[in-house]
Amino acid sequence: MTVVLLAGAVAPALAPDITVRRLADGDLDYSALLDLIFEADRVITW
Amino acid sequence: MLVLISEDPRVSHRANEAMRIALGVVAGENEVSIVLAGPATHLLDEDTDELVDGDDIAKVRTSLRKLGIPFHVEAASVPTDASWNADAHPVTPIDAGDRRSRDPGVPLHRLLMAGVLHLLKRDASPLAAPVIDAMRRRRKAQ
Repeated sequence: MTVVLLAGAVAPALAPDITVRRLADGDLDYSALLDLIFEADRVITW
Repeated sequence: MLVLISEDPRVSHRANEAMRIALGVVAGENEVSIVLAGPATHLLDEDTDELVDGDDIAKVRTSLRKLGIPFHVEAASVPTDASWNADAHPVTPIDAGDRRSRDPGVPLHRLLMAGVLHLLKRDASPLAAPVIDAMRRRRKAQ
């Protein structure tokens, strides 16, 4: 299970086995985010 | 898919409509998680006569229970009435104040194998974290 923080999102505290990524310089760019979306079985937007 | 219901079924038909939509999606191939927040927890009231579309609510609840679909319920909003959830529908309490520490050293291969991707926007609901954690625990238990 993966959580991606979009622009301006505050990182919630989550269990250690949940991967948290950020859409920002030095982490995900939009192309990489798109790859993640297509790889995922389900995408939930909060 | 996650269905977040926050309307009050005592005054609005929209809560029942959301639950019916969730049931419709369950009938397809998509996995569905249902969250009852705020007054929407009254969807599990025993006396459905007090709810808008009460008879329909009882039918939809029964169908969801038979399909083994639990409700994630906002713990702080659960009615204190002992008759609440008299049908013993499976529920997972969630707490918007629940916070846990995170290990930043998660390997990349776990990311690539992720089945569920949560996208948090700037104004993401405070329920996101507890719901994500509840889904994680459910997947582990399967």
